[in-house]
This record gives sequence, C-alpha cells and structure tokens, in this order.
Amino acid sequence: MNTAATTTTDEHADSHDHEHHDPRLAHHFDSHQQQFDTGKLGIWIFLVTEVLFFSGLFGFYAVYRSLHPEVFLYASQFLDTTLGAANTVVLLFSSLTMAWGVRCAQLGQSRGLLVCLVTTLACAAIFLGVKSFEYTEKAHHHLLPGRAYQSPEHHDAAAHATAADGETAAAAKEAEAAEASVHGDHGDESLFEKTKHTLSYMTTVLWGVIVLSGIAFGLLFKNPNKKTLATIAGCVLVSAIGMQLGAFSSIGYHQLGHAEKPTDEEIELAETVPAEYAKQKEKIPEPMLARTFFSVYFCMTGVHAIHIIGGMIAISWLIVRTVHGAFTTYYFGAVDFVGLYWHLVDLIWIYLFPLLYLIN
Amino acid sequence: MSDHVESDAHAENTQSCHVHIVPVKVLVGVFLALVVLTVITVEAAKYDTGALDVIVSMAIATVKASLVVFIFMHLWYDKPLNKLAFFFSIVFAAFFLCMILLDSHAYDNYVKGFTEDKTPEFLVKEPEAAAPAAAPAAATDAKPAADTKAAPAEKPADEKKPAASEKPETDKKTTPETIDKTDSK
Amino acid sequence: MATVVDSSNPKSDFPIQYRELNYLNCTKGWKSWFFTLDHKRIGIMYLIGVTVAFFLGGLFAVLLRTELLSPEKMFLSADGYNQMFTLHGAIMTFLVIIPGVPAAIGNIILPVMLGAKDVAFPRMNLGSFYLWMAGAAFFLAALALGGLDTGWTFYTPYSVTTGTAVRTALLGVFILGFSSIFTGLNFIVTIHTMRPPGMTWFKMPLFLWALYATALIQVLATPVLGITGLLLIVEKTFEIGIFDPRLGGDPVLFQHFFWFYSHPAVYVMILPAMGVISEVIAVHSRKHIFGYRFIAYSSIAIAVFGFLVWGHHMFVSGQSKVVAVVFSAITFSVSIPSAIKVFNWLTTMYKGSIRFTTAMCYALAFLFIFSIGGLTGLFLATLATDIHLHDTYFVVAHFHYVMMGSSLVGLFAAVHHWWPKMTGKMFNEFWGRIACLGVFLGFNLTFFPQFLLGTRGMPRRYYTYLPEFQNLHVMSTCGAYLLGLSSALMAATLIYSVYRGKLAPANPWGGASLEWQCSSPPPHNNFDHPPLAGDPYVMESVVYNEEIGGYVPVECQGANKGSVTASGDNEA
Repeated sequence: MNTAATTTTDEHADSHDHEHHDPRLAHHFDSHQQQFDTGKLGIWIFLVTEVLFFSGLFGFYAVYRSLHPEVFLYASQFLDTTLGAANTVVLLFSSLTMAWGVRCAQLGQSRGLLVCLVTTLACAAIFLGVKSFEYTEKAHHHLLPGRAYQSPEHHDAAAHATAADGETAAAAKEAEAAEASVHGDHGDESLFEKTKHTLSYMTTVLWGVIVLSGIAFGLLFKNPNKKTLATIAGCVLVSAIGMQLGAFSSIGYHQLGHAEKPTDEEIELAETVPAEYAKQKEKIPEPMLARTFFSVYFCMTGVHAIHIIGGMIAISWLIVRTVHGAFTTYYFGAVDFVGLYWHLVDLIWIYLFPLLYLIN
Repeated sequence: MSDHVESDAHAENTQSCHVHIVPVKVLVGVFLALVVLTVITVEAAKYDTGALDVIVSMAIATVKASLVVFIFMHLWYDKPLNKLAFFFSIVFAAFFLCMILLDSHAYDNYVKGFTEDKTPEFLVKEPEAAAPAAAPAAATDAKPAADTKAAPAEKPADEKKPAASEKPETDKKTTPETIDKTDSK
Repeated sequence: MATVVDSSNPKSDFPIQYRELNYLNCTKGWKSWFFTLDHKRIGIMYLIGVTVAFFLGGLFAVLLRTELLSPEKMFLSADGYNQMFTLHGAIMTFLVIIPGVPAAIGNIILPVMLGAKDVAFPRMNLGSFYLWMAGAAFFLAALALGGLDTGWTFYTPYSVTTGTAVRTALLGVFILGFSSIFTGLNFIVTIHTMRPPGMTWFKMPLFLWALYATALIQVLATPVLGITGLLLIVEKTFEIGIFDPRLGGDPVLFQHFFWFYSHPAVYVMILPAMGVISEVIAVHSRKHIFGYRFIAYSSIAIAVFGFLVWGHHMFVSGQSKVVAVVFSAITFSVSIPSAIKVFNWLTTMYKGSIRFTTAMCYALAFLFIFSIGGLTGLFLATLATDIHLHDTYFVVAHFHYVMMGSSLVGLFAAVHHWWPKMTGKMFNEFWGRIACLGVFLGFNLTFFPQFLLGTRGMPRRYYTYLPEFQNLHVMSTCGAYLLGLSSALMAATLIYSVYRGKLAPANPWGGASLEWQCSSPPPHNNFDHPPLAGDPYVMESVVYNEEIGGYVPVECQGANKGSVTASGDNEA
C-alpha cells in the first residue's frame, strides 16, 4: 500500500529535453524527482550517522546504568519530572508543527508553512529556556558532572540524619539550607533565589535581544529590499521570546508549585523503592559515583541541546527562504529534510526523557 | 491507511515531485497519541514495577518513536531503501550497545568487589568530613578516597603489556622516563 | 558510443582524445579552485593534500627508523620518540590512508565512472575537503602546541593525564571524521541515485562496489569515533569520569568505543585499494574480471564483517572471555572474503595478456604484500598466539603490511592507473617501474625484519632495544630509506610528467569502463551526453590504434586503419 501511496499515475521517463535553466534544479540532476530523491536518501543517511553518534552516548548510559543502578536511582530524583514532561510535550508539539509545515510546503501553502515554521522555532526556543532553568538550578545545587560535582549529602549532615521519612526529597532542600547557611542565611528559598538571580542575567540579555530585534524587525519589515535581514531579525525575536517564555514559566512553576510542595511525588518515589534498597540507602545515603549520573545527564542533554540549536538555525534558514518564496509544490526538499532532522532530535528526546527523568 | 490524501503536488509535467502527503487529521491524531503516551509513561514511572520499569518505559518510548518515525517522518510511505537505511542504523546501534554491555559486566566483579570492600571506610570518613558543614572541603576530602578505590581495579586496561622478558638489559639511552628501563644487568 | 567530433582533431572517426578546454583550465584563478564545486578539482586538491601529509608522515617514519639504528640514543629523547610515532601514526591514518583512495581518487573517478556530471552533493563535497583541511590544521596545531604522545589510539587513562595537546588532536580527529562521513554519504547517494541508464548494480565497475562498501563503513562507524573524541575531550576538560578510572570511569569502555570505529576504519583503508586492484588487474591483463559477483559481494561482506571484529584489538585488555572468543571467530571469517578476492585476481590474470605497466607492477606488489599482511593477521586473531604477539613488532609489521603495504600501494596503483585521465599526460613508464621496484623492495626490507623482531619479543613503541636486535633494526631502517627515496622518485616522475609528459589519449590502457570514454582530462561536465553503460570488463570492446597511441571503441575502428587488436583472446 505504501508504493501505491507514494507514486502517482503520470510517471514518465527522465526527460532529456528538460530545460536546464531552472534555478531550482542543480545542473547535475535530470529532474526534480531525482533531485528530491537524492536529497531524501542523503538526509536519511545523515540521520543514520546521527543515530550512531547518539548510540555512543546511549552506550555510555547503558554501561553505567547496568553497572551502577543505584546511582541512577538516587540521582535522577534531583531532576524535575514535571519540567521534563512539559518539555517533552513542547518538543512533540514542535514536531507536529514541523510535520504540518512539510505538508503545507508540499501543497504549496507558503503562508501556512511560514506559520508552522515560526511555531516550531518558538517551541524549540521554549525548550531551551526550560533547559537553561534546569541547568542553572543544577549548577546551584552543585549537581555538576565530574570534579565539579558536590554531594548534596555533604551540605548538612544533621538534616540528613533526621530526614528518614523523605530523605531523597529532602536532599534538595538540605542542599538549599546548607547553601543558605554558608552564604548568609536567607532561608529555604535562597537557592531558588540564586537560581533566579543567575537566570536573570540571561533574561536581561534576552530582553535586550527582544527589544533590539523587535526594533530591527519593525524597521525593516516594510522595506522590500531588506527582506532577508528583516526575517532574520524576526527569527531572533521569536527565539528570544520563546526562551524568555520557557525560562519564566519554569521560574513561575517553581515558585508556585514546586517550592511549596516539592516532595509529594518524590516522597512517594522514595517510599516505593524496594525495601532492601531503602535499607541500604540508610547505610549508603549517596552512592559513590553519583557524579557519573550528572556526567551522563549533562553530556546527553547537552549534545541534544546543541542539536536543538543547530535545528533552530536550519529552521530560521527555511523561514528566510520561505519568505523569499523559494518553495513550490515541486521544490520543497529542504523543508522536508530539515523536518526529518527535527523529528530525529525529537525522537532522541523521546528516549532521553524516560531514561533520565523517570528512573524508579 | 489506503484512504490517505494523494499528492496533487505536480504543477507542471516536467516539474513534478511525487510524494505522499499526510492529512492534518492524522498529524494531530499522532500528536495527541504522543501526548497521551507521555502522560502514561510519567504515571507508570510512579508505580514501582522493579526490573520491569525500564522495559515499560522503553516500550512506551519505542511506541512513541515509531509513531514519529512512521508518520511524522513519512517513513511508512517512503522508499524501501530509506526504510532499510534507518533500520540498519538501529541494528548497528543495538549491536554496539549489546556488545559493550555484554563486555562491561566482564570486569565489574573486580570493580564491584573492590568498591564494596572499601565502602565502610568511605562511610567512616564521611560524617567527619561533613561535620564542619563546609561543602567544598568535604568534597575534596572525599575525592582521594574515591581515587584510590577505582584506580587499581582498572589495571587490565593498561595498554603496555608488562613483559619482563622484553625489558632491555642495556640502559644506554639517557632519558630516564622511558616506559621500561628498570631491568638493568 | 559518444563519438563527438573535435574540430581540432583530424581523426574524426574517433572520440575526442584530448581537449584544449578541460576541467583543469576551463576557469582560472585561485578562486576557481578553492571554491570549485567540480568533483575532479576537489579530488585533485585532496590528492595534493594527501601527498603532502604522506611525505610529512613519512618524514616522521624515517626519523623514527633513524633513531632505531642503534639502541643508544641518537637524537630523539624518549618523549620525543613517543611524540614522533604518535604523529606518524595519526597523520598517516587520519590524513593519508583514510582519505587517500576514497576521497582523492574516488572523488575524481567515481562520477566519471558513473557517467554522472558530478557527485550528488557538490557543496557538501567541497565542505568535506575544507573539513579535511581544518582537521589537518588541528593536527599541525597539536604538533606546535607540545606534540602528542598517546599513540594514535588515544588510550585512556594515559590520554586523560598526559599534558600534551590531546584535545587539539582529538578535535582534529572529530573534524576529520565528519569530513569522512560527508564523503561516504555523498558516494552512497551518488551511486544509488545517479547511475546512468543501463548500469545496473551488477554492471558497476568493482571500484564502485568497493567505494560503496567503504562509504557504508564510513557512514556507520565514523559517528561513533566522533562521539568518542568528543567524550574524551569533555572528560579531559571537565573530568566527568567516563573513561578515567580515578573518577569511577571505565577505560576499557573507551577501547570499545574507539575500536568500534577504528577497526572498520581499517577496512575503509583497504577496501578501496582492493577496488583499485580489481580494476587495474582486469584492465592491464586485458581480460574480463573473473568472478565479478564474488568480488562485489565480498566487498560488502568485508564491510559487514569489519563491524563485528573490533574486539580483537582488546584480547589482552581485560575483555570477557566470551566476547574474546566471539571476536576471534569472526575475525577468522574475514579472511574468507579477502581470500575470495585474491583468488579472483589471480584467476583474472591467468591466461590474460599481462602488460607490466607501472600500475600493474603496483598491483602485483599489492598481491604479494597483501597476502603476507592478511595471513599474518590470522596469527593475531588466534587468542593464544596473540597473547605472545600482542604489542610487539609483529603487530607493527602486520598492520604496516596491510595498511601501508596494501592500502598505500593500492593508492599508488590507482594514481598511476588514472594519472593520464586526471592530468591528461603520460608519465615515464621506465622511471615509474623503477620507483615501483624500489617501493616494493624497500617496503619488504623495512617490515619483514619486524616480523622476526616481533616473534623474538621486541615490543612496539620502544625507543631502545636489546643489542641482539640491532641487525634486524638496521635492515629495517635501510629499507625505510629505500622506501622513502622510491616514493620521492615516484612523486618526481609523476610531477615531471605534468610539465613534460606527452599528451595522453582518452584510453591509454584499454579499459572498458565509462571513465575511459571521455577525453583525457575530462571536460567540466564530464560527458556531453549521458553515456550508455555496458559491461565494464569486456576488454574486446576497445582496440588499439597506433595513430592515436591508445584504445578506441571497436565500432570506430575503420577497416582501412591499420590496427593491432590487443584483446586478451587474440594475443594469448
């Protein structure tokens, strides 16, 4: 049924009389169909290399998880499942808009294509905004890879001793408390405040970018000669707004939901671990190699984030070309190919999310 | 699936490019399915199912991934060659993972035994270190302990084969930091 | 056949032999080279780059061998020695052998052989060349920033602790990996989508099969090298504890990651050379290749098996016994497709009319050297003997026989075989053969003693040795000098021909594949009309023409023209 679906009836042989002045057709191809098929095979093989590239990281994950399951059990609790899940949905939505965009391109609906691409870009930016909040929070908890890692247990031994009921949940809080006592007693919220404070650098810069690119966009918008620049400014604007949105919503979420009742889910988590493991955990509160988890976490999400950024650049390029009306019903390969890449990035996140956030 | 919208994307005869176009309904449906599956996997993670846990979450992830690959990425409607390419990448990745997993447990007995032997020592150390409540100090204290623990267990990885018979008897070259220069006459 | 009449050529019956306006001079200025999208020019740039890197790596090799003339210190410190063999290995592997045949020769020949105008993605092709340049720049930077002393394998934990420029070199490797991936991607897509009408999979020249198999490996294995390099850089910078045992990392994991790429990479080196030999032997024996399908399938089989054997580098690294046995068994099975190829080449020569042209001489040298290199591999694949031979000169000799002796001799054969096509000039056969003899003798003199040294226990990577090893070491060093001089002679002969050589006909050797149908430096677009592809090994389809000094298609050969048929049947 797939072959029936992929081809239509008026198939004709490669035309040699085909004129070679079509700017959309490279000189070494005979037809648009050949050009499209070539590009499609190319992007699929590129995706193959991407899969294998990530397989190294997954291998690294698999080896350490199988060797030290307790580390993963212990450390994944420091990751916020809700933020992760929200990010997953954002990425899935961006995948939807991307696929929709490809459909629009295939049908020659350039306005729809533009809307879809801009939405995709915004979603990618939101994802990065949330991610930057998570990273900043980890950094303030000293939950960093390798040498930079500092055990949360070391912050406050006393609090640790009492926290028998929900000790894993308490760990984050302890860390906050300890940090506060070291850095001048601001109470429970101080670490979050610090996170917010650090993030404020980013948000300030983003505000600046939003204003500047907004002005540039506004000025250039009407000028038909500066279409490219205006579009680039627009893309920057959308990305900055998206990131801002992501950062602020995660701050807001943290303030509203997480700071007050941080532990419901995590307490439950702690209670449902196997009895022997719970016992063992009282003896070994923190596995020795907890830092390895954060190495895995930062490597995997970091490489993924780099791919997101690469994808955003590619999508912006598509937006510029769309504005120039480059895509037609017979020339939409680029949209399709970037779309495939984007879906792969999504695909990898689909695996990363349960592997990192949902360890029980 | 045969009732999908066919491509009418050919404007001119020479400039045509035939592809399958996925209808909006399917796209949105897939998206909703993906969201539902995300919720399911989050909820499922809250129940302890022991070793099944990874399998369940990976199974759900694979269902999600297949939805993305087959519908969003059009692989279902794509050429067999592209399907084959993607399939092969998965096979190779899986093979790679299996082999290194198979092997990583070959020597973890050494490592595990070693770490378990040393764990009490580590624990003894820890409260002392943590007592001053100075976090950085605690971390630096703990590190040397970790260092001594892991290092000897990994010896087999050393690339140079220590073969006494091969060591040179004459040490005429001057620089002392060669690999094996100890075995003199 | 494409019998396009060249107005400048009175022999109007024949295809154009030489064009005043060809790809080399159709546009001028450095920009026309550095920003060219023409696969042939990119290939030429690759060839120049590879040659420079080859002589740089060769210089390191000669210095190493000079140091080993005596067990006493000559001029290199122990650290200096470490750095030198590391750079020799790294440059030769990543900059010379891996891009040698596929990227340089493949780029020039593959589209012409396919009758295509260009590779599928010309811009990506140029990009891959610049990535190669960037990678080479990083290697040179590593040289300047304190060298590199880890060996080309970058084994942890030493590479994490050493103070040399590991990061720079690894970045270079990472970038070169992407260069290689893009080349491979381009080749796969080109072969799949741009074959001319009439060229089915089993009418492709075997060189294309070999390049296809190579490209598969490049695409599937190189990403893992990329991520490995990246992780090692991260490990060294942030100490994240992946490979560093002090932080709970697993150094054997690094070896798995590394060899998952680097063993298949060995086949990236040898497979294209095998493809070259298939072409050269068939053409210069004037005989249809024997066992076409077997050679084609064995290329793919080698590529597939190549993925399944990486563990044989780690027999003494503490990998599990089960895994070791599996890897050993699969390693033995690689010898089957390799042997199939050798037997088919031999059978192709049987009763052929062999001409000892320079390219053929290199091909014969390849057969000899590859047989030794391949057979000694069996000793190393055996678990028990490997314990004795691991990390000795036996290993060094084995992989030089395969990587240097086979891959590079294959490259030399390719260069000589397609030199008239690339440059439009004929080189001096006499000096070419002398150089070939020198390379062959010098190579064997260098590396055969190393087998003996290895079995007697001379460990690799040592800058000193027991006095009783000295004779063999001196022999080896003399061989290295001879090898170096012969390579220089070869380069000189070829470069001289560019300026003084006589014009080459379109088909000087009598090949039947498509690249011999276009004029000798091909025009910018390769073919005026898409050529019709037939069986690439029917040597009877071309006959020798004395006026032209080369071969012309049979149907162009008029009855009144004095002709000598040089097809294998008639002469044998």
